[in-house]
Amino acid sequence: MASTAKKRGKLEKNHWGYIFIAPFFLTYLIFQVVPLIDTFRYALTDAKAWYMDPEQAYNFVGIDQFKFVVQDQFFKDALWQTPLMWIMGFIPQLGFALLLAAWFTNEKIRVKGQGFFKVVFYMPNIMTAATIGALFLAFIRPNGFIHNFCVAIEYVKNEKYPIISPWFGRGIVAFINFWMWYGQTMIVLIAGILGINPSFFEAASIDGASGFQTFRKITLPLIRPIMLYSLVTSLIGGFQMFDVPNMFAVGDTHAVFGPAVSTIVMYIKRVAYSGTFSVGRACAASVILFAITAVCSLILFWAMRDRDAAKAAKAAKKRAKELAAMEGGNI
Amino acid sequence: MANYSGTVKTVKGGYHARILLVKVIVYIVCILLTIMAIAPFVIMIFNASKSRFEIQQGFLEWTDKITNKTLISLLPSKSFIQNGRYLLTSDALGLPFGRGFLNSALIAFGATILSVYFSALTAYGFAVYRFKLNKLLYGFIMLIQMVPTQVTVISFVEMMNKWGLTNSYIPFILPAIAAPGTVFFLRQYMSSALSLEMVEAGRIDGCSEFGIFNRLVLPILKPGMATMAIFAVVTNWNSYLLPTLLLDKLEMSTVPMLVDKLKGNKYSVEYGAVYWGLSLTAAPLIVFYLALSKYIIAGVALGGVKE
Repeated sequence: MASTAKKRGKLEKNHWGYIFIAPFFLTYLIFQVVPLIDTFRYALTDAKAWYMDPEQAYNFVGIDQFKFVVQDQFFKDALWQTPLMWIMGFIPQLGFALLLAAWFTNEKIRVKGQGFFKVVFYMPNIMTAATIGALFLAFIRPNGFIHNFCVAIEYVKNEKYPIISPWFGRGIVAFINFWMWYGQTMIVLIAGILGINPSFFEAASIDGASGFQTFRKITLPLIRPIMLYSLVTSLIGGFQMFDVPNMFAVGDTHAVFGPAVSTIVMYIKRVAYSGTFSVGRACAASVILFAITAVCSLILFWAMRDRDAAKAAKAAKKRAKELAAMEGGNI
Repeated sequence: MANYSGTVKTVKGGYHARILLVKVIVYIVCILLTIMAIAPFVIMIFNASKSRFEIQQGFLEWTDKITNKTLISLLPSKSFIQNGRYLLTSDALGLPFGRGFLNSALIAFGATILSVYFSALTAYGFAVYRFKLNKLLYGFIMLIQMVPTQVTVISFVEMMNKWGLTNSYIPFILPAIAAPGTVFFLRQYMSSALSLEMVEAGRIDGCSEFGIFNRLVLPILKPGMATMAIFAVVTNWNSYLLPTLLLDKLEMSTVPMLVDKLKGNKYSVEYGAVYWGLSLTAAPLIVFYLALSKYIIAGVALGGVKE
C-alpha cells in the first residue's frame, strides 16, 4: 500500500518536469524557431528590410532569390573563400593541437610548465575577435609593424607594399583563426588523451611499441570522437566566420583586401542592410548556408565514424539474420 | 613505465640522448608559440604609448646603417596620456568607451544570469522528472546545438525591428534563457553531482518543487554553473554581429562596436589612439582571464569531452 502511494506521488510530481523545461522551450520557440521559419519564408519572397518597407508589402517570387544569389559573383566568391580560409586555419590548428597534446601527455618527455603553456596558448581565444581583427589590421596596413619590418629588411622599396594581396589577406584571416583556436583544441585533446584507460598504454609499452606507434595505433583511434567533435564545431563556426574578416571589410578606407576576404555571413549582412536592402535575398543565402553546414556535418560524421564499430555492427546484424534464417529453416 | 625505460636503456644506448633532443625541440616550440601568443598584445600596449610619428617610424630598435634612421623601436614612449585623451574626449574621435563598457557589462551579465539560471532549471527538469517526452525533448536539445546561429540572424533582426526593439538590450538578454549547450553541460554535471535521494528528502520535509530546486539543488550546482557563467560572460561580451545590426545610437554601442569605429576612416591616422583603444578593450578580458584561468582551462577541458 505504502509503496503504491509513494509511486503515485512520484507520478503526480513528474508533470513538474514540463513546468521546469517550459521557459527554455518557450524562449527557443519565439527567438529561434520563429526566425528559422521566417528565414525559409522570406527566402521565397522579395521582402525588403523592415525600415525600408514597414507595411511588409512583399510578394511570393518562388525560387528567384535563390537563382539570383547563386549567380551573384559576390556570393560565389564568399562561397569558396569562407571554407578555404577555414580549412587553411584548421589544418595547422589541428596539427599543432595534436602535436602539443601528444607531447604534454607523454610520460617520457614530462614537459614542465604545462599549466603556464596552456594558459598562454588559450589566451587569444578569450579576446574579442573584433579587437584581434582590428589589431592585425593595424599591424599589416601601410606604416604598420609588418610594413616597417619589410622596409627594415629591405624587402619593400619605397612606397610599394606588395604583400597586400588577396592571398595575403586570406592567409592572415586563416592565421588569426589558427592563432585563436589551436590552444582550445589542444586542451580538449589533452583531456581526451588523459581520459584513455592507462592500461592500454601499459600493454603497448610491454609489447615494445615506440612512442609514435603508441600514438598512431592507440591514442589517435581512441580520441577520434573528440577530434570529430572539434572538427564539426570548428566547421560550423568556420562557415559562420564574420568578426575577423569583417574588420578587413569592403567599404571603409582600409578596404585593404577588398572582397578577397568576404565571407557568407558578411554577404548576408550586406545584402540585407545595404544596397537594395533585400531581406529575401539575404534569407535565401542563409538557407544555402544552413544546407551547406548540415550536409558537411553529415559527411564528416559519416567519414569519421568508427569504421571498426560500424563493421562489427554490420557483421552482428548479418549473423543475426543468418541465425534467424537458420531458425526459420529449422522450424 | 619504469620497467620499460629500463629495458630500452639496455637495448638502445642513445635512448637518453634522444629523449633529451625531443625535450629541447618541445621547449623551443613551446617558447616560440608563447612569443607568438603574447607578442601582438605587447606590441599593442607599447604602441598605445607612442605618438603617431613614432609609430610611423617603426617597431624594434633597428638602425638602418645607410640612412641612419631608426626603423623599429620596442620601447614604450611618452604619448600614453595624450593618446588616451585623443581617443576618449577629442572632437575627431571621442568614443564613449566608459558607456561602452557599461553597456557590454549590462548585456553580458544580464544574459549570463538568465542563461545559467534557466539552463540549470531546464537541466534539472530533465534530470529529476520522468515525464513522457523527456528523452525526445532532450534529444532535441542535443540536436539544436548543431544549428548554426547566424542562419536566423536576419529574420531575428527583422522580428525585433517589427516589435520596436531596435536600440534596446532585450534582444541580447532575453533569448539567453534558451542556451542548449549550457543545458547539456549542466545535465551531465547533475548526473554526477546530484542525488535523487536529496530531492526525495526535500519533498518529505514539505518543500515545494521550486523550493527544492532553489534552496537545495542550486547550491550544489554552483561550481558547474560558475564554469558556464564564465564562458557566457565572455561570449556575450564579445558579441559583435547582432549588436551592429540592432543598435545604431553611439551611446548605446557595445565594446566590439566601438572597436569597429576605431578602424574607420577619420580616426585611422592616429595610430597611437587606435592602439590605445584596442588595449582598453583587451585589458579587462586579460585581467578576467588571468584571474580565472584555472577555471577556464578546466572548463574548456570539461566542455570538450562530451561523450
